[in-house]
Order: sequence, then C-alpha cells, then structure tokens
Amino acid sequence: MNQVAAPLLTPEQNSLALWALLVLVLPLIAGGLLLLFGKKLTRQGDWLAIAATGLAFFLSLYLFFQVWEKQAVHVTWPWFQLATGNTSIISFTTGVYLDNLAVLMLVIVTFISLLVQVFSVIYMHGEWRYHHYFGYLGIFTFSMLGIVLSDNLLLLFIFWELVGFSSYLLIGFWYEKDAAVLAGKKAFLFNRVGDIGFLFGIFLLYTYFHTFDLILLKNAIASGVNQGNNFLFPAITGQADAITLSYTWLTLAGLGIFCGCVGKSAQFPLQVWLPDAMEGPTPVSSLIHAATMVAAGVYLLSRCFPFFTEDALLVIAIIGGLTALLGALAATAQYDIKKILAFSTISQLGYMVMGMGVGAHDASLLHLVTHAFFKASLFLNAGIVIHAMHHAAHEFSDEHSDVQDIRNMGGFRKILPFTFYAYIPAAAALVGLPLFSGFLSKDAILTGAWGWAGFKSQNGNLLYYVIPVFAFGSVLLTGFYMAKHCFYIFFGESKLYKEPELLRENKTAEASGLLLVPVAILAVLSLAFFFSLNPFNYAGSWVMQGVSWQKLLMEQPGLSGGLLPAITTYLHEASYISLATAILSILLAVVGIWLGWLSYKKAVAAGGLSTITAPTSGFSRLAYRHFYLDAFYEKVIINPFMRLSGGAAAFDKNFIDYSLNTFAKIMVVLAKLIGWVDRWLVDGTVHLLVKVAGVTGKLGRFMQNGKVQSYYIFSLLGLILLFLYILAF
Amino acid sequence: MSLVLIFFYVFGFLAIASAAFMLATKNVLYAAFGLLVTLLSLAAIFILLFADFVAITQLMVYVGGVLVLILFGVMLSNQVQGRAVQSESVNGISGGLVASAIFGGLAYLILSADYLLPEGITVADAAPANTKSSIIAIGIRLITNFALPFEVASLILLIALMGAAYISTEDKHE
Amino acid sequence: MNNIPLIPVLLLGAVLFCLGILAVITKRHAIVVLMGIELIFNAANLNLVAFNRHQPDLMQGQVFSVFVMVIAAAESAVALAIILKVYSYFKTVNLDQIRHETDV
Repeated sequence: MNQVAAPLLTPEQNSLALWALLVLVLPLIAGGLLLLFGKKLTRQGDWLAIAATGLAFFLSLYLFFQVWEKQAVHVTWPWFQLATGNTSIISFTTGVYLDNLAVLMLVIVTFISLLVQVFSVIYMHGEWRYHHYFGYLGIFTFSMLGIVLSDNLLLLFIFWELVGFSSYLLIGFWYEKDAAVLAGKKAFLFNRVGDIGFLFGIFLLYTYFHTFDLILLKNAIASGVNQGNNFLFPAITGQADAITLSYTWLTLAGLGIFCGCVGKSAQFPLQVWLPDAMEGPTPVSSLIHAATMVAAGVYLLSRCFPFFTEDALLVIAIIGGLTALLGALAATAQYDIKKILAFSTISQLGYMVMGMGVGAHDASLLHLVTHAFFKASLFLNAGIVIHAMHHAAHEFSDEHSDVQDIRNMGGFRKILPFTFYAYIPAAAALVGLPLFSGFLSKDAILTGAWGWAGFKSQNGNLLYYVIPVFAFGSVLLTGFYMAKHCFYIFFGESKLYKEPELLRENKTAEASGLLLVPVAILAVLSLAFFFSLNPFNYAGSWVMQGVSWQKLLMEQPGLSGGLLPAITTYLHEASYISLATAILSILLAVVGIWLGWLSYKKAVAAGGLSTITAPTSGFSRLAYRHFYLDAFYEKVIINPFMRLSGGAAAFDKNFIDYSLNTFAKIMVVLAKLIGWVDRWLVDGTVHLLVKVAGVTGKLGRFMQNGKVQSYYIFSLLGLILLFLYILAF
Repeated sequence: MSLVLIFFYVFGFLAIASAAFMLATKNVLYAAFGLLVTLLSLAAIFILLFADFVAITQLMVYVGGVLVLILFGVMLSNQVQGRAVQSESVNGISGGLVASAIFGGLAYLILSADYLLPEGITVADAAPANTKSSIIAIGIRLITNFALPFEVASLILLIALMGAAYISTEDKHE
Repeated sequence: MNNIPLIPVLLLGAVLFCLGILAVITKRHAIVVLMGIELIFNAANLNLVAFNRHQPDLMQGQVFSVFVMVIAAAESAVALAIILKVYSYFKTVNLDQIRHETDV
C-alpha cells in the first residue's frame, strides 16, 4: 500500500488550493465557450477570453502575495486506484503544489497571456477564425497553468502534452498556408521525440520509487546516500527495506526527463522546430515560443532538479552551452525579423538549461523570468513592425516582397518612435547591458558557469572551461546580431516603402493603443529595478532569493549531492569571478554591438541593403541554414524513413495486395466453378430426383385409376412376377 | 383308358366349355346358366374323385344357394323389361394377356413340379373298398381335429348372413 | 384302375381359375364378376379335392373344400347384398358407370 499520510492542512491552505484551481480552469472555460459559441458572441467573444485571463491574473497575484516567501501549499486528492496482482491496491493522488516558483510562474503566464490577448485584439482583427484563435489561447493558458500547478509527474506529463497540442493548433492557425501546416507538424513531431524520453524517465522513477508525487519523490531521493557507483536509500515510501539503486540508471532517468526539456525548450539537437514555428501569428510566437511554453522545459528541470545526478547535470550543461552558441551563431546570419528573435530564443533557452546544468539553479530561473518579459516585448514589437509593413504592403498591393525581411525595413526610428523606444530596452536586456533585467540574470548564469568550471577543473582538467567560453562567446554574438538588426530596422531610410505615413496607423498615432500599451508595459519591465534594487548585483534580487535552491528544494539538492553547496562555497572564496564576469560580459556585449555597427556600415557602403539575396560566404551560409541541421535530419532520418515506408508501401502494394488480388481472382474462378457444379450437378441431381419422383407418382396415379378391375390386373401382375421368380430359380 | 377317366375328361371338357360360354355370352342370364353347368360338372368330377360329401355340398350350396342368389340379384338389379340383361366386356386384351400368362405359369409349375406324394396312393386305391362314403370320416374330422375352424366357420356364416340382411335393408331415413 | 391321375385335374383347375380371372377382369356387370369369383373358388376346391384323393389320411382337402364353400356362400351373400345396395343408390350395377358416378 502506498498510503500517503496527508499533511494537516489549514483551511487557509485549502482555500488557496481551490483558488489555484479556479485560476487553472478560468482560461479553459473561456476557451471552451469561445470554441463552441464564439461566433455568436459580440465581437466574437474576445472580451470573454481577456476577462477570464485578467481574472486569472488577479487571482494569481493574490496567490502570489499569499504564498511568496511565506509558505508552500501542497494539497492532494485521491485520483484513481489500480489493483495489482496480489490483492493490494495502488493509489494515485493528484494535487496542487504552490511554492515560490509555482506562484511566480502563475503570475508570469497569466500576465503575459493577458497582454498578448489584448495585443491580439488589434493584431488579429478581421481574421475569419478570430474566436478560434482566442479559444486556442485559452486552452494553451490552461495547459501551461496545469504544468505549473501539478504536484505529480503523471499529471504534469498530461498537461505537457496538452501544451504541445495547443502549440500545434496555434502554429498551424493559418492552415491555408502550407508552410504553417508543415511547421505545426514539425513542432509536434519534434516534441514527441523528446516526450518519449520524458516518459521513460517517468517510468524509471516510478519503478524505483513507486510514486509520481514530486514532493514524495524529492523527499525519497533526498534520503539517498551516495556510495560511489550506487545510491543507498533507506526505507522509503512503500518499501520495507533499504534499497540500492545504480548510479547509471538514476542518471538515465534524469536524462530521460531532460529529453522532455530538450524537445519542449528547443535544445540541441531538437531545436529546429522553433524557427519554423514562427509561421504562427506573431502574438503566439511571443506568448508560446518565447515567453512561456518553451520555458516549461526549464521549469521542469527546476522541479526535477533533485533527480539529476552530477553526470546528468554535466550533460545538461553541455547541451545548454552548445545550444546557446549555435542559436546565437544562426541568428547572426538571419534577415527575417522573427527568425532572428527565434534563434535568440533558442540561444537564451540554452543559457537557462546550461545554468541548470552548472548548478546555477536560481540564476537560471531568474533568467527565465526576465527573458519572459523582454522576449515577449521584442516579439510584440516585431508584431507591430510587421503589422506596419503589412499595412504598407497592402496599400501598395505588393504581394511579392517579404514584409518580415529586415533589409526591407529601415528608418523606423522616425516612423514608429514609440515602438523604437519600447524595442531598445528589451533588446538591451537581451544583450545584457547594465541597468536592464537581462544583465542581472545573464551575469548570474555566467558567474555560475565560471564557478562551476573552476570548481570542476580543480583536478586539472581544463576542458570544463569550454562551457563558460561558449557562454561568453554567445554574449558577444548576441550583442552583434541584436545591434545589427536594430540598425537595419530603425536607422537609415525606409527601403521598400518610401512614404512613412503608409506605415503608420494614421497621422497622429503610429499604431493602435491596444497594441502599444502591452508593449510599453513589457518594455518597462525590462528594466533591472523591478528585479533587484541594486541593478548591478544579482545577488540582491528578490526573485533570486525566492527561488534559490535552499528555499525551493528545502536544502535538499538531491542526487547531485554536495555539488551545489560546494560551488557556492567556491564562488564565495573566489570572489573575483563575480566582478570579472560582470566586466567581461559588459565588454563583450559592447564589442558585439560595435561589430554589429561595423557590419551595418559595411552593408550600407556596399549598397547591399537593397539586394535581398541569401548569404553567399561559407560560414554565414552555414549559419543562415542553421548549420544544415534540417538538411541533416532530412537526409539521415526523414529520407531513409520515407524510403523505408515507401519500400514498405511498395511491398504492400506489389506483393501483399498482389497476392491478395490473385488470391481473390482464384477464389472467384473457383467460386464460378463451384457455382457451375452446383447448378448442373447438385441442382441437376435434385431435378432428376424430382423427375423420377414425378414419373413414379404418375405411374402410381395411373395404377390408382379407380377401376377396381385394373387393380386386380396389377395385383395379378404381382403374381406373374412370383411365377417368373420361381422360373428363374 | 378306364371309364372313370373317360367320365373325367367328359365332365372336364363340359366344365371348361360352359365356363367359356359364360365368358363369351353377353346375356347375364345365359352366363348364370353357363355357370350352373360348370358347377354341376365339377360336382360330378368331385364324385369321380371319391369326394361324395363335397359333391353333395357343392350341389346344395352352389347350385341350390349361391346360384339362386345370383339369379335373384340379376332380377332385382335390372330396370329393363322385355329384353335380356346385357353385360359388355372391357379390358379384353390386357385381361387375356394376364390370364394366359397366369395359365402359362401355372401350367409350367404343375408340369414341372416334383410331387413328393406319399405312398398313400395305394391306400387311396383301396379306400373305396373300405368305405363307401367319406361322410363318416369328414364328420369325425370336423368334430375332432377341425372343431375350432368348424365353429369359426359357423360364426362367419352367421355374421355374413346378418351383415347381408342389414346391408340390403332399405334405409327408412332416406 | 379307376384312379384319375393328378396332373390333368390340376390343369383343369388351372384352366377354370384363369377363366374366372378373365371373367373378373373383363366383365362390366357386377354380378358376372361375382360369377367369375365363384368360378375361381371352384377351381381352388377342385385342387383341394384332387390332392385329398392322394392324401386321404385326415381328409384335410375335403374338409377345407367344405370350409371354402362356407366362405364362398357367405361371400356371395354379402356381395349380393352390397350389389343390391349399390343398385338402389346408383340405379346401375355397371362398374364403369359406378366409377364415373363417384368421380364427383
């Protein structure tokens, strides 16, 4: 029996859990109503979606102030029971877990969702599936909140899949476009690849610990004692005796869970779906593919942090670092504004994952929070820019030019000044300039990475420094590509559409207020003050303190054992690292921006701005094509599979179907033959019998003619027969 | 050829001839008379075969009873007056074929049969010397060996008479 | 030598028997048919008596011939009664006509 001794709950905790459930279902109700009846509501019901999300946001704020730094609420309910072979029953519970991280995520998800929906009112205006769009957003919000609130891995996995599903719906929202359909399919399938690993990880953990409950798992794992190759667990839940589990299997379990993160958070090697996902509407890209959904992987890593062994963390760090560098490199060669932001998202997610891997757990979460705001801001601004370009393209009846290509833009600083001033802080935050939020979080991650490498390489193996080098290289590249595309968009002259007023909503306003307000709010939130009173020191950040591993994990770092405390101690001793990181990162960012300026000047001088061609030089082509990862998958995985399935289909058609058809033909011929036999032999026999019976009957009737004398004749014939018999013998 | 044998052939010929006449004639009354001659001839043959009781019974029952009954029947079942009662023939060919086939078969059987007659022929030859009549022997047999058939025959006769009387009664209710 | 051989007697019986049969088959008048039947009875009687001449121990042949006569008398009585009844019903004793009358 797996009976969990339910902790005593105060009425207040219970009510908090119920409020949390309300937050969860509000977007679902709104989304469901919109999908079913959206067409009949006034304004197709966008107000309903926004009201529900707004209400959810305010409830989240209430929960936030009740829970943050005060208490952790864990309420469970019985979910279902399974009978095993031997009379015992396995009970499964479901529940809500509210701690600092959960309420923080609640606020972020509902807040950005709210802003994006307000933004979408104008941006998606006139779409013929307008209500569907808001319905899908509601379902997405619901799924994301479910991930955040779940207290067990099974439920989390269910919501995880729902998120993937709603993402699929939204990427393929414009399903009239082939590219959107393909992108949705691609995103869905790449997520599935990761989810298989995730599922296996869950299975492994359940096999060992007999529970899906994250809290129970964490407690069980915390009691483990590292014995080198094995972990010894004293009597944990549901088991009488201490068990010994292999280090390898636990590492594999952790890596399995990390697979889910790789899929969802677009880490190497599954990151290729994210740039394609930009086929979806821009607000969707902002909400899902920048701020929240892709962050779910990082959230999962944080929740499952205790389940990762030191080796698993090493793999995570390597994957994260590699992704950060590759994303940044790919972004340098892009000219599509959304593609640039998408690759930067990959790069930033790489940072977060790397942060998790190097044990900078809290820094990673801080970056998750700050990134959510500034990346949402960037995407929404990009949305305004694209909206403006569309507007102008529409006026010119221009259907051939790519409205998302930054080489077609230019001079928007004058044309769309408000957007410019909203864009710059977010971009600065992304680059990591001081005073902006990104600086804090990136600095924290970089410091963590350096500290981790320093601690690990104490044994003389300097290879560990590759990770921080990757990270610092990415900082340089980020500065370069962000500066470059900002110059392209906002400086110089408008290249494609010379009349500036065509790009604006009207003479007085550059865009609708509903577009600008969310952008403004997010831009303001890109400033560092909101996250730390001292904008140069991340250590004082209230977010960092709230989500530090000591608080979130309750001083139980899990399987990685003493790694986290050791790094903390190491950083404390080597205090120069922190300062050096700050200076170095600022320096690199500035150099990156300067290089971006040079690149822009060079392009202007060469007059290359007006010629829109794919890059020709070796490296930039490599980066532009995203290192030919897609082509690689196409060649190595997809094509062989297609050939295999084509072969299977051909086999099926040429062999199995042919055999079946031949068999069927034989059967038909046989059936005809049998039919013939039936008609002529069987039926013939029957008819013959009938004829014989008829003739016999006629004969009998002839004898029974009513003449008594002929009866006599016939009986005498019998007598004659007797004579003949006697004569014969 | 003894006298007895001559008488046998004479009476046999007479019986066949009168029977043929009975067949040939269309007049029913003539047929009845043909039958009369046949029955009488047979009675004579019975005497020749030392069956005097059977011969007397033949005369009494057939000639005196059955034939009279038949004549009554002929008279009672005729509407015609003033001309002879006629009877046509049918099935001449098939009847002739069947009858001749049966005769052929019977004749063949009779001629080809291997009679296992006991030595009693000699005894029979001596019989007339011992007893002038077979009446005593038949009487003894009828009340000893054949008592039960005798009684049953009487019953049958009684029932037949009763039945005949009942059947021929005019139905009052018609 | 006042013994009559068996074979001629039997042949005479056979001839009479066949003539009786012929009468039964060919005649249309019911009473003539009845006469044919009497003829058949007599042919049988002749055989019985002839065999009795050659096996006179128990007089079975003669006793049986007497029984045959009894039966014949009874038969003819009943038959004539039936014929009279048929006549009173159909007003004819012609067998073919009776058959046609019954074919309603």
